[in-house]
Amino acid sequence: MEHIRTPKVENVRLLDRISPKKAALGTLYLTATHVIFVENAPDTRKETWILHSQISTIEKQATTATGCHLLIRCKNFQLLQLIIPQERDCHDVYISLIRLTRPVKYEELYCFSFNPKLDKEERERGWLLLDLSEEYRRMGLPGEHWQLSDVNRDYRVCDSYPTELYVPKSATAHIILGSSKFRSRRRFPALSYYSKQSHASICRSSQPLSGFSARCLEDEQMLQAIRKANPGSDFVYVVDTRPKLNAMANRAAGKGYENEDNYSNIKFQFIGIENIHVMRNSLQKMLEVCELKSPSMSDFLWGLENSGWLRHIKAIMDAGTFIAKAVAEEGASVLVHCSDGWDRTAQVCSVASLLLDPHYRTLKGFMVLIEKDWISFGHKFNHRYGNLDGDPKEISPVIDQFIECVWQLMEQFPCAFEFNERFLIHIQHHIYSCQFGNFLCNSQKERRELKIQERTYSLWAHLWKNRADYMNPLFRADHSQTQGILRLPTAPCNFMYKFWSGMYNRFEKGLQPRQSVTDYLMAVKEETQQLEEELEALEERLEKIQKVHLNCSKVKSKPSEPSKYSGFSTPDSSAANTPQDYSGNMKSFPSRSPSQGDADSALILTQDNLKSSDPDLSANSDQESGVEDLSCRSPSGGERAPSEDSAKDRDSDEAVFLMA
Amino acid sequence: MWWGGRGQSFNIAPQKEEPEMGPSGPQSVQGSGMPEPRNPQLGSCLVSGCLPGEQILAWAPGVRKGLEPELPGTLICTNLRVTFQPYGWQRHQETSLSSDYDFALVNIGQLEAVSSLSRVQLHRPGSLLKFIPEEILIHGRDFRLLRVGFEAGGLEPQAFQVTMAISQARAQSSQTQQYSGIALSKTGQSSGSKKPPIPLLETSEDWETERNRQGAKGWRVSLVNERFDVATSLPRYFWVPNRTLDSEVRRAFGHFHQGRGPRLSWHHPGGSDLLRCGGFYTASDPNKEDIRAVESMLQAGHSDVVLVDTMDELPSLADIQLAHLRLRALCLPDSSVSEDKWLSALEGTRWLDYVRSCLRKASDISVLVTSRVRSVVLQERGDRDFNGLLSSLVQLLSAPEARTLFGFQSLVQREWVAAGHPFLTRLGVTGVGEKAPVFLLFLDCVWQLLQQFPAEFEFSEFFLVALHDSVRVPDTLTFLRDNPWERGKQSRQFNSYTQVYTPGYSHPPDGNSINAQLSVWDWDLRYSKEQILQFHNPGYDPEHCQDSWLPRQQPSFMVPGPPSSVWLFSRGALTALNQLCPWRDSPSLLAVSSRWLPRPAISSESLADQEWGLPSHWGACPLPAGLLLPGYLGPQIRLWRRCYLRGRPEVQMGLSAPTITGLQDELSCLQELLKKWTPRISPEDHSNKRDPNPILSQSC
Repeated sequence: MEHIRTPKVENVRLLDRISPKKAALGTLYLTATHVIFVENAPDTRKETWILHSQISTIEKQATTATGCHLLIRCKNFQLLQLIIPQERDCHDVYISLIRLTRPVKYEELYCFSFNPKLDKEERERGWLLLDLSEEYRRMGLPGEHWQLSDVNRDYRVCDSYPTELYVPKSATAHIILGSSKFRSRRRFPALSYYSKQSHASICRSSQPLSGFSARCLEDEQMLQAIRKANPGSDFVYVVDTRPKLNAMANRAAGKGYENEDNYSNIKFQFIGIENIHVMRNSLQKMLEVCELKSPSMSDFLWGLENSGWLRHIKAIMDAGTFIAKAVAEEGASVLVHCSDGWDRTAQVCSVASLLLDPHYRTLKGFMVLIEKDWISFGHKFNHRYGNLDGDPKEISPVIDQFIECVWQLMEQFPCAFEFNERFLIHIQHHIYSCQFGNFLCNSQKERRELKIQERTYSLWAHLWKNRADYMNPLFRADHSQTQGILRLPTAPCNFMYKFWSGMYNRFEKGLQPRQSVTDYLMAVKEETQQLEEELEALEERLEKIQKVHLNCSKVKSKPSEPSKYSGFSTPDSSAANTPQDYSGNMKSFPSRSPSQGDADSALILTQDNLKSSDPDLSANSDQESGVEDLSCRSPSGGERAPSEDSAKDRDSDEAVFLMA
Repeated sequence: MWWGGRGQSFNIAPQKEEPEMGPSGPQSVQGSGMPEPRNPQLGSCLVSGCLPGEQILAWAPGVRKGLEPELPGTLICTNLRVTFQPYGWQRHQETSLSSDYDFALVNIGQLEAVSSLSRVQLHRPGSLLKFIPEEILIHGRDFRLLRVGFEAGGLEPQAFQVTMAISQARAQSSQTQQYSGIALSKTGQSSGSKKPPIPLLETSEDWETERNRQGAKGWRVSLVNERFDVATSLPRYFWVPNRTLDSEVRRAFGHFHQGRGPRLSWHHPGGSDLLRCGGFYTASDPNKEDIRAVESMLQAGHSDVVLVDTMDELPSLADIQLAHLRLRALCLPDSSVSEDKWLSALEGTRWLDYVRSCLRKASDISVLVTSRVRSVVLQERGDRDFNGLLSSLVQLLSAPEARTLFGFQSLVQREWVAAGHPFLTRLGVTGVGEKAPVFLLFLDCVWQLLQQFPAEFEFSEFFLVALHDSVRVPDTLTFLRDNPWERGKQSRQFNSYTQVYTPGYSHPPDGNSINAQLSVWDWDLRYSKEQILQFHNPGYDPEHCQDSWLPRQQPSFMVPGPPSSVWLFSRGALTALNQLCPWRDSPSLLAVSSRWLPRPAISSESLADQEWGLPSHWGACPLPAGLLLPGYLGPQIRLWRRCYLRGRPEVQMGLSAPTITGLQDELSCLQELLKKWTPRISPEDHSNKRDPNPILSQSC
């Protein structure tokens, strides 16, 4: 609070990027957690809320006659161009934001003040939604060849690894310890994915400290153990995801890669994924293209190509495909590493798992996948996504790339994923928002020390609660695509990968298609479900009515009769659910699309309990009142709007409260 | 030697018209070494699919590759087409052509023979194949690819023969050649005169009906060109202002390029009129009355007239042709473009840029038409290419009716086919005239709109692809002639040419007319019922725009005097003109026009944003309901993968099959549910209405 120099600036203009002549006049508020812009236009009073943690850069531009320009770039690719009339105000806002967007302590982050009004029990239940040991059990572990190791209890061996790790049964603590000493940051080979059918596994580690000639017997034994844990194959692939040149350069620093002569029965393979610095620059270049005021065809296509972004995406997909093929088709186990084994390795392992196992293509499975390969294995969320003020060279869009890979796959296999694009976009959003505790810190150890689970809420519970919004209407569990491994074409074709406008231009409404087929399908599905429920209710009523008829004919005047029917006194609402009503709903439907401002700000605010589409609520409703419930669950914008508004009001109250 | 005397065996006799053959058997190749089909079943299968007058030249068993799974069948070359018949597949009796398996000879863009050792392109009939092909690849001009592998084991001669036959037949086929007789067998099935699915606008009634539908009260159908003596490239009938006499029309049209004077294209319900005409014929020396006639026709009763320089900021015909050739080369499966250079190579074709400029222009014009009541005149020198493209796009953007299946087909029939777009020349291999796939560019523009507004169109992407492909199938005259006059000549509609025409005369006296009534819109020629069902866009939501929006009304057709304001629209801006016609004082204004003026501001803002009184930002204020303003920034223009990348099945994975099947599954599920409910719900409804209500009213 002490950092806010000026909490409110009036007569600020928010520019529209596509047509700079249009500008909305309004008031800018700074709170402890958000930047809020409220338009003056009396009929809309549109609000734009930006979390401080989402802001990546603030740029003060030259002062013009109209005022002082302030450019705010966000990590979720939103771009705000403000004109503040007074230079002094602009400077105050700028200085305040500089400080507010660079917290130095975890405690300053939004998740420690965010309160979705859930009680303690609910919060704890939220954290229990995903259970990694359950996930390993699903894979068939522990089993004949793999066991849970307690070698990393209290993070004694490796502080960036989780405590629960699966290793081959034949790998003794001695071997593991020896191997860990021979690996960067002691990240020894551990299991990431196990295929029950082929007994092949995907293991991950960091690079060996081989230098030019060093050897380590235990490390060699470790790889041997991994090979033996898969009786179906007499070799292991060792995949180094770095370009060969980078790996060679590392040798000079005493690191490097496995020498095939020293390790028996390994097949060594380089897959050139560039390092985090190249990726950061590539994204930067692509975002510059996205920021162009009126990009022509050549601006866009040349810019996109020169950024190299899609090439990098392809490299990651290629690596994933290679591993998935090795596991599924050759039945061979794979050890994956890069330098430290927490960026490219995480990307590649999770892409491969996604290709291999349909479970990861479901809503819950995907959350588990991120929990396993990213969160538990010590992907450095804090450094990569700049949650706390730190070294800008550590920042890189590593998980963004993984999320984009998933989207590219969804484009190619539209029926194979249970979740939709919105799900991915919201996950990306919350990785940066720091609204939930899941992605805090750099390792499990740090999170435990901070007692994250006791002090913050879990994103997964939030997403799961609103899962109706994240369902892919085209998903078919029985589709041939859905089962088994997803096969990507082997032929080289770069144009399979497309620019993800829904992510990088998601705030440019003008650039998005005006109607979303997905939303339309979701509405149809919801409507179908409602009709089904209604049918059921009607049938029940019919039965009762017939009974009543019998009663009526027996005893004509029974005083208690009317009260019997008050229980289902909704013939009007059911009659209103006729096709006309249906089309009316469809018409208003686009108002819920995620590409629209209201939905997005609602997402940021997340007042779950106020969401009228909450499926849990309807599950509780009994059959008799089912019909009434339906009407309030119908996807008409009119009924939702007030709830969102009230959500906003409440939150702005909170914000004011925080300021005070 | 089995290939001896090749020249003889494949010397195909000029096609004999044997309509009495009907859907009869094939004449097996005369005197060739072609073995008779050994398998009687196969033989009958080959027979059943033949068109009248079609001869099988060669065939060989093979496997269609590039698809999942590979499809065994027979590759057949006839004098009309190359077709691949999968085993067990029976040509549907009603659809004598297949959109999946047929390649019209004229559609073959490139023929490649491949063996393990070499790979040859067969360009000319003379080029001799020096090896036995293991696989042949036929690249269609429509971006389709037929890849057939031949199996070893005694059948090599057949593989060789069929390859050579295709190469020969292709060289001998001509663009104008048509699957004749198809109409005969077709009309034979549906007894009597069949009404065309879409009004072909060959009769004045059709024009009258359409005029009424548009509510163009100030306009009438002119019969002045009934004998094509005003202009052969114009349709027999067109719309002119009520107050203009036919003599004035004749007088005025003489001063336009090729006699294509101003005619109504579309009447906006709000009162504006969209006109199209050719360039002023500057060499002519009109007298005062002529000028008055021209002016009153351009003005069409409005006080506000905007002349649109159609060609301004649009690519030339040569540009389009080059872009299309480059695009096709780029989309070949073996295109040499390296992986990282794909995007810049795509940009290098310029195709997407041309799509973009068409959309931008159409968007501007549709704002001109809808924002104020005025006469908007599209002027292109020839009036046969971009006027049609822009006028159709403007109607798609502004008129919800044009976005239905029926409306769109009528639109194409009116603005392209009847208006005399020279399809044959533009698409042709005739070598005469300027080639340019303007129509295909238009279809791409429509596809972009479909992408941007998926709920606004009744037709689907599949329909657009079907229309795209139909251009290369010589089954009806729609795309095989350059103008209505030639089309009519061919279908012997005017063989009683000297007779006096009476309005309402529609059918030729003799029932001999071939294809008179068949057009590309007779989809059942090539598409099965199931496929035609897929023409419908499941996401279409016509309720979207019910309320009709009308611009500020002004009393139309009330002001006979000269127009009070005349504008030229060019470079995205309006410039005031002193006069409409260039002849009054030389030098002519349009000749100088604004071609050399730079576009005033390089901005993405369309007119909608600037001065037309339209809302300053999306959504908040109501746009004219039903008016679509397309996006045309770089990232918004996409490549039509499902059409152009069909030669690369691996790219199609996520594109066509799963999505469409997904939707289809969804639909069939819903339909089943509906079926299930209808009988169940209806009695319930009754019981609901009869029983609980009275009880309720008691309780209340």
